[in-house]
Amino acid sequence: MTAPARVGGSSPRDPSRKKTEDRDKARRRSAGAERAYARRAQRAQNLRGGAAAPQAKQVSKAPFVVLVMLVLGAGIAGIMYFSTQAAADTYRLQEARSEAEKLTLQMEQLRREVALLESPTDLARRATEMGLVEPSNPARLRQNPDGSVEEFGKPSAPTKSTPPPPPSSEPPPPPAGQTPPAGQTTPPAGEQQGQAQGQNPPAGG
Amino acid sequence: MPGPQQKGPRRPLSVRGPRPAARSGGNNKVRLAVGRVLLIGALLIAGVKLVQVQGIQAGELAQQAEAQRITNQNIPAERGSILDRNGNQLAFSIEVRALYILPQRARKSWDEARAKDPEQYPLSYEDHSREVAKFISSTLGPEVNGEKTDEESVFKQLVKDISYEVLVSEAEPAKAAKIVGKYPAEIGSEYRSKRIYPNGELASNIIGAANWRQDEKPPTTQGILGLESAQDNLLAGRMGRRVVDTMSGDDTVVIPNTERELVKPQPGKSLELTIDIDTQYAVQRMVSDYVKKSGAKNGSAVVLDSRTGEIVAMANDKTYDPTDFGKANEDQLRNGAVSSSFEPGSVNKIVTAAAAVEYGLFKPDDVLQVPGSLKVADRVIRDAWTHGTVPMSFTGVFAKSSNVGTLMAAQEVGKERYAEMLQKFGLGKRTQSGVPAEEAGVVPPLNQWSGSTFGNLPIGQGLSMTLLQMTGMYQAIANDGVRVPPRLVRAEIGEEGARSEKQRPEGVRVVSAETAKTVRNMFRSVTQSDPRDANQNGTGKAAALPGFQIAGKTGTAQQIDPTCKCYSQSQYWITFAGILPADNPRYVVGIMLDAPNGTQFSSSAAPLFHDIATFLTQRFQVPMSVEQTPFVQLQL
Repeated sequence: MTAPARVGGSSPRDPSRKKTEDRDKARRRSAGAERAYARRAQRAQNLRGGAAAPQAKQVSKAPFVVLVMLVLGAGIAGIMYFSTQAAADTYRLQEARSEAEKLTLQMEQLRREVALLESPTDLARRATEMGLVEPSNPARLRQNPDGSVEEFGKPSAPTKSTPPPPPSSEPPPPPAGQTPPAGQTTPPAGEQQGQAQGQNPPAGG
Repeated sequence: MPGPQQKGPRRPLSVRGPRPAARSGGNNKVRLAVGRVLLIGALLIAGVKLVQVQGIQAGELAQQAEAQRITNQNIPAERGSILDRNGNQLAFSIEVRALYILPQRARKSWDEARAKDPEQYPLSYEDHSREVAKFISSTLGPEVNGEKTDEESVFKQLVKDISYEVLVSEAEPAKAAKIVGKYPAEIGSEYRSKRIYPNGELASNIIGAANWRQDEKPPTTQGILGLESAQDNLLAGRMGRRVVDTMSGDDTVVIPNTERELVKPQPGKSLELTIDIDTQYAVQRMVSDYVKKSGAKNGSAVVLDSRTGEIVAMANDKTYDPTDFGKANEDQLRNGAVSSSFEPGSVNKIVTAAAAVEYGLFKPDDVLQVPGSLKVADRVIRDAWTHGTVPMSFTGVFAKSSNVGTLMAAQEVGKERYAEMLQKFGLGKRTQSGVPAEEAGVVPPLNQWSGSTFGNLPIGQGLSMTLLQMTGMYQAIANDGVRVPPRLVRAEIGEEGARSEKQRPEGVRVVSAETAKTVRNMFRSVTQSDPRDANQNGTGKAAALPGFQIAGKTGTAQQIDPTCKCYSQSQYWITFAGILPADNPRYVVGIMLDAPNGTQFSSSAAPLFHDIATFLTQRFQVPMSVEQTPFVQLQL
């Protein structure tokens, strides 16, 4: 904490300085002369029109002050502009972010739909609805080097398609586990083999 | 200030300059003193307040400020997906919103607002609620995943005298945002994640199930069953945390630019399985069908890639709905292919065949004089059909599944070498396939064998294995004698698709390549059929696939009757293991039926193998065998 000294010019508690000043004045002029000087100075001042005396010199400073003010003004305007822009950008960024988030969610939703439609369970259900059946026992053809075609196995006609299951708005039926598609009745091959099975002893012990 | 005061009276009035200075100089002392006192006073007050705020109340105030604006938020980590070998999604997560209502608060604030400004709010709370309910119902539809959202039920919840209730737990985020945007005072929404299983019950015994756990802290999706549970750490990733400043009183309004991310969330890794979902679907359906047809209690099938040991399909007849696993019973939850072990029966005869060929004891066309029965210690072993002593080729012993012939060969091999061979085939040990809940099966150690043990093991009784182990044995023979432990997880997929392949397990050399080829060729005769001479029929001719060489083995093992603790005469495990095609193996299929009974399909699983093999050849475009299986004399 600095002392509140030096407010009224030189410290009154500085007698040595005061004394030298007094001595100085005394040596140069008497009190009367001093008063005369003071009066003259006052008159001169009155003649020049009050405190206008230093104006001549200060006129040259005006452009500088104006310039500084302009620079400051421009600076403030600039800062305000940029900070407004920054704030606006923040909001735009936030909007863009929320838009991106929305699109991500939409993508997720679509991805889910695709996955559900792609699943073999659903494909099989729709295929059955359209009356498609799986060939249970296809034959295979092979072209021999001499151009003849050899047939392996006896193709069996797929069992009749069943009428499509009612309302398709229902969720896909559980996979074969619980309700095997009705189209999958005994494949003919299985039957033949099953009959032949009787002749075959069960393996192992 | 003595100077100016003494000078003052002497000065004439006209000298104006110094006089004001002199006058103000007169007040300076007082002013300074007052200023000083004021300043010091102010400083003291400020100091005291400073100490109070910064020192005494600091903690409390900081806390209050924080509570007012700082909100901790968990950033949920995205749970990894489970994919099949072709990248089809088997399980994945999506974001949803739970919509909750605050009926008491909504009613109170509505009534207050209405009392203040009746013109603005002409409706009573009830009428207003009806409007809200109408909007919600029209946005969400009458039902969301089983939760009713029709106008009437929403309205009833809105006017209930409760403070909080979840209206819908899995609403679409876009629709939720629409509702909350329109009625922020009544409806709130919070983040939830939902696990989607596009294939429903398909392969659920393997994949398992995960669901949203609101009671966890913090709430998150957690794996409960199967792979979802076994690989939960990997799939779940790590939750992130961030701190944001929010509006006081409303934590959902985040002040922009105040987000401070403390911990970044680490999304979970995805798992790529070796399963092919289309094959899985077909096999699953065929197994379920056949289990029904044969009257079996349970049934499972496994398809392995013969070269890599990858599990292409693993199906059980019973599965469950992963989104509603609470309803599933024990049988449905179990993955029978790995968690139930059984006595394999004649399928196990391949061990004897491999050992006998490996040690050069028999050649496929060697002829054995097979008697009708054979006494091992206190037990008499017979064949499944009665016969006197008949000459059979070594191939014929296995093709016709002669127990007596097999035991004759096993005795040549000897106990030690036989026990060692069982071990090499990977029996009695978990396969480490990565399928959860795997069992090891039981193989009695050599030093605990009783006299009759060696009369049981070669024909597949007295030891147990899982279906996966059984299929693995045939994989070794298919893969030129090198058994590659089966596996389920092919790769882990990290952030931005960074894929890290799981290391292939080291193969185990079981028998030499030549032995494997010989055994494969011998076991082709199992599917042989001769319309003229039933004696030349193999036991698994129904498994034959025209155009392809099929090597395989049927099996029938007596189950243990729990009432008498003896082998049952009516309940069997019916097994089959086959290699497709035998001349250039691509796939190995193992099948197990638990106690089929009462139908023409009950005695053999060979027809099921035929169906599965037919599908596999089409699905993977397996080229036909160049030559057909040559005819072999089984019984001379």
